[in-house]
Order: sequence, then C-alpha cells, then structure tokens
Amino acid sequence: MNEQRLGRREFLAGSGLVFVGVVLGQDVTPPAGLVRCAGFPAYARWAYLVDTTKCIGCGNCVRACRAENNVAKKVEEAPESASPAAPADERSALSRYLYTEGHKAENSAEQPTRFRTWVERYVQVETPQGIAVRVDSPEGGEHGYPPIAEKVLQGFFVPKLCNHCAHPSCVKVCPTSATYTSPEGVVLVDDKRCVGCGYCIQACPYGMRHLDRRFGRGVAEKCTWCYHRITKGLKPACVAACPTGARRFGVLADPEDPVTAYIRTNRVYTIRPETGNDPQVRYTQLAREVL
Amino acid sequence: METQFLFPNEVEKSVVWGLVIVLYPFMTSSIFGGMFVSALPTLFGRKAFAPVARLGLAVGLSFIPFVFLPILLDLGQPARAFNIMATPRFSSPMAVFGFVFTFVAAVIALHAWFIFRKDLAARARERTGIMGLLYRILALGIVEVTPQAERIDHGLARFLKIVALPADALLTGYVAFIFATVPGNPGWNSTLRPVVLLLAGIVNGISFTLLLGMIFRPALLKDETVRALGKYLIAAIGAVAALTILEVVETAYIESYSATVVETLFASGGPLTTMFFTVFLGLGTCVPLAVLACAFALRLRGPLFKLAALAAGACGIAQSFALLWNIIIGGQLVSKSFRGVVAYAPEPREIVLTLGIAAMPVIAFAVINFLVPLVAPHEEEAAPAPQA
Repeated sequence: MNEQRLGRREFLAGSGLVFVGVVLGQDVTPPAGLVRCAGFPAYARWAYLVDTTKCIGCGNCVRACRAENNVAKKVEEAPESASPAAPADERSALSRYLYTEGHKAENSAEQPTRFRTWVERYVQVETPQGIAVRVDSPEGGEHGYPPIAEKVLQGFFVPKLCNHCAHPSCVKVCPTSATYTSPEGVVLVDDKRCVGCGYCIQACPYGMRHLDRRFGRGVAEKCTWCYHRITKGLKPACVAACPTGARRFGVLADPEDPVTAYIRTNRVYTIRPETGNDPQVRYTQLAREVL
Repeated sequence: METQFLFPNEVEKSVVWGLVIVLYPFMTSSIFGGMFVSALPTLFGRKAFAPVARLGLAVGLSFIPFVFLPILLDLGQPARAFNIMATPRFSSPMAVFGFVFTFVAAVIALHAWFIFRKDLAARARERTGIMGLLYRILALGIVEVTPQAERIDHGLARFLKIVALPADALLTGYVAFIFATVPGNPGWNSTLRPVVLLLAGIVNGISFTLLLGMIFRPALLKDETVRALGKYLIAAIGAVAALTILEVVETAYIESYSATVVETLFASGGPLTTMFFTVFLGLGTCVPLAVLACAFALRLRGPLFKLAALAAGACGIAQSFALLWNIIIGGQLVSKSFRGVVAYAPEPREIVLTLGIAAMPVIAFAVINFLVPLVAPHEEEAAPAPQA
C-alpha cells in the first residue's frame, strides 16, 4: 500500500480550491418563480397583514387564540357554598414554588387574564374641549365593547399581536437564549429554558409578552403566529377565525399568494418603526394614533 | 369610556419587577459604597477615614453574598437560574452581569482575605475546637505569617484594592446599564443612571458604615472620622439629588410623547408623588442636609454630632431606596401604550421577602465582626498612603 503524504503546499492549494468552490457554489439567487417582498428579511417565510378597515371588533380572533393556545385566563372563584367543581392544587406553597416542569398548566383564580392578541378600539369623539381620541380594549376585546355616550365622529378597530420583529429586543435581552428567532423568522420561547426573569417583557415595546405563572410554570409567553399550525400549512387560529378577512396570513416566497401580492403592490405600515425592532406585521390604513 | 388606556396585559399586575428587585441595585451600589469608604485612607490618603477602613470593607463584603438573592427569588423558575451562565446570550446585559459580578466578587473577597489573613492565622493558632477549625479553613490552612509574607500580603492587598474599586464601580454602573438599555422602557433610558447609582452607592456606603459601626463598633467612630464621613455624606446626597432633579426637569422640558403621562406620575396624587417629593426630596435629601448643616454650623461635638450623623445616614439610606424605587418601579408605571399610568402597591409577601433579604447583610456584618477584628487596621495605618 503506497503511503501518500499531503504536503503543506498541496494542503494550502486544496484548501483554497475548496474555499473558492464553496463561495462560487453559493446559490445567492432565489429559485426561479419565487419572489421576495421589500422590507422583509431574507429568511422571513411568512407575512402577516392586518387590514384595519375590515376589522369589526367581534373578538373571534381573541377567543380563538385563547382556545387554541390555552392562554391564561382568570377563573372567578366559586362561592364557598357551591360544591367544589375542580380539584384544588394540593401542593404546599413551598413545593409549588420549587416546582419546575411537567405539570399541566391550568387556569386559576390567582392567574390574571392574559392575551397573546387583542383588538383595540379607537374612537374620535367630539367633546366641549374639542375633538378627542378615545382608546379602549376591555378584556382584549374578547367580549365586545361598551357603548359610547359622546358624539362619535369616526371609529375603527386595530388588532394587535406579536410583530415577530426582524431585530427583536426581546431576543436581544434574553439572558438564557430561551427566546429566539426560528429559521423562518418567527420569534419563539423555549419554555424549558426560560427562567422567567421578565427581561423580555420589559424589553418588548408592544406589551405583547406576559409571564405565565400558572401552577409554577413561571415562564414568558407570547404569540407564536400559531407555529404548530403554520408549519403544517394551516393558518394561525386568529386568521382562521376572522370572519371579515381583517387578519391575513401568506407565504412570502409565493408571488401568487394574495397577501404577498398585496404587500408588493400597496402601501403598508408597521407600528412604532422608530423602536428599531423592524416589526414584521404589516397594517393597512394605520392611523397615527395607533401606538 | 375611560380616558386612560393600558395594554390588556398590563391591566393586572403590570409591574413585572417589584419591590424585591429594588433591592438588587441597592445592594450592588452598597458594595461599591463600602469599598469606597475602605479605599479612602489607603488609596486617596484621607487619614481621617483610617479607623473605619475595615468597617467599610466589611460593609461591602456583607452585601456580596446576597446580591443575586432578589433576582433569584423573583425568577419564575428559580431552579433554572444557572441557565443564565450555562447558556448565556452575550447580547443580554443580564447574562453578562453574572460573569462581571463573579469577577468583582472574587477580587473583593481575595482583597479582604489578604487584609484579614494575619488575624485569621493568629486566631487559627490561638483557638481550638470548632472555632480553631473554622479559622484554619478561613486561613486556607496557612497559620504562620512571616514578616516577609506580611509585606507581600500588604502589597497584594493594595494592588487588589486598586483593581477592586474601579471593578466595583464598573459593576455598579453595569447594574444601572441593565435598566438603562431596556428598549421598551423610555423611562429607564438615561445616560445619567450609572453615575447616579454610583453616587447613591457612596451614600449607602457611608450610611451603613455609620449605622453598623455605631451598633457593632462604636469605639471606631471617633469625632474626627464621623465629621469626615458627614462631609462626604453631604456631598453625595446633594449630588444624587441634583442629578435626579436634572433628569426630571429634562424629561419635562423635552416633552416627548410620553411626557404627558410622566407628568401624571409626579402630579398631585400621582403614584410617585409621595416617593419622590416626600421620601426622596424631603426625608432623603432636605432632612439629612439640614441636620448635618446645623450640626456643622452649631459646632456640635461628641454624642450629639454622632446622633446627627446617624440620623443623616438613616435618611441617606431612605434617599437611595426612594431613588431606586422611583427609577425601577416608576419606570414601569408608565404604560407601554403611553396612554396611561398603572398602579403598584407591594403585596405583603413582597414586603416580608424584602425585609428578610435586607436583614441578611446586617447578619453577615455581625458574623464578619465576630470572626475578624475590625478594630485594628494595621495594614492601612502601616501603609505609606500616597496623597491624592
């Protein structure tokens, strides 16, 4: 058997050739027939579009999100006379505190109601002092809105959800790398790694995150665009439940996709672009009052 | 229809970092304050502080083991706390803090060991039984200290103090940086934060040296020393108040889109009115400045001056606490919608937890005072202190 020795010159020459080959071999152009929309990062796979002119504030999306993702909801405590409907958490305060993983999350009286998405109502009213803008979102718009006594000039609804920013401040500040951006551009939380420090909640300028303390989970929660659904080709629950098409979800690389086509040919806006987070949820007809 | 609007996730329990977290920068800055007092005679040639140099070091030391406690007890998953160092993201100021703190704590501990080594070795030789064993462990088994070794110890302690003081200043500034760099909270974004926290640390250091010294080692607090501490306390309290007022005036003057909401924080009946005007400006700033000014003007001596300095020190601690409350809690009271202000009142559990954590450095100080002599600062006295 002949022993072949690799000399220094051969090694360097070979390495150089491999390097040049790798660089030249990079497929830098998208496959034929695929397009990308301006304003989205190269890795972004999906687009979320909110048409504020179509939202009627029905709250279907909020309810669908809660049902799909088991979003925390405060359960009103039953009166003492009533029979015990559900078994109470029997663990001691200490074991509840030290508890880490694997327990089924349940809603309770201690857990405040939280939202992964909500709908805000903006109403321009005429007051003796002049024109004023009133904003509200009682219970996230889940159960409707109270009537307005003042003279209404105009009103509209704005659905809010995680913007899945291209430069997310929540990801930047997470000390344990529990919050991360998926390869498709979706910002997710690894709830087995999250320590529940709340830094991401502080960092999100949109108030989209909350701490889920149900039964000792104690981790950050947020909208995932229903990652478990969209990776199977389904729409997010809020989009599927929207009766008017105010919430739309599309595939960025497909030029025939209605959402992609709309974003390519119309003016769309993002909320608070000045934060530098580069939010990825697009809005049509976004009023300046919306923050 | 309500005039103020909070994002739905802010409606209940919107303040994520409550009273317990206020203790975190408070304790970190107190370490710097203690080290500052301890460095005054050795590094800056302020001989009047020589009797309390070890006292200051003990103050700094007693806070070190408990700095992580407020964060740890506030975590949703305290059992996973080590993830911060196991899988850190280095773009996160909080992740880097673990490493910075470990370095600074190690330097301070090493510095203290070289300062106290001679006494630890002496006691290890003298004592028997459990205490003898404990001193042997603390002296790392080295019970003989030759004059040559003592000289080397002294040099190393001095070198480590030169390293420890700026490193600790860095740590304290870094804690302020953790808050000041949060993009989602404009109320925290201020470049003055690290400077203010360092000054508050000096207030804490002097105040705790006075208070703990008076409780555990009253003989160390001689008239001259207390007067010198009093003068530095006036300067530090005044500087903290001046910079904080400057920040508030700047916020009001700039009139950014959150300014209207910020104004409601300080308006009559607003959530920060009591803590800012009554506790911070009144009790924490005006009272100690007035008390010390009167004490100096009336040329008080002896116990009366010490009493005045003690009162001013207690008020100084109140000032630091109120300052940090106004920054940390106050910063979270403005809704992210910029259309409302949320309310916060600590729960009884939080208050008990905070008091419990706050008591721990005092216990630690008592233990240090029991273990090592804080009376004989022979290193500092023997040191040829350079003139600043």
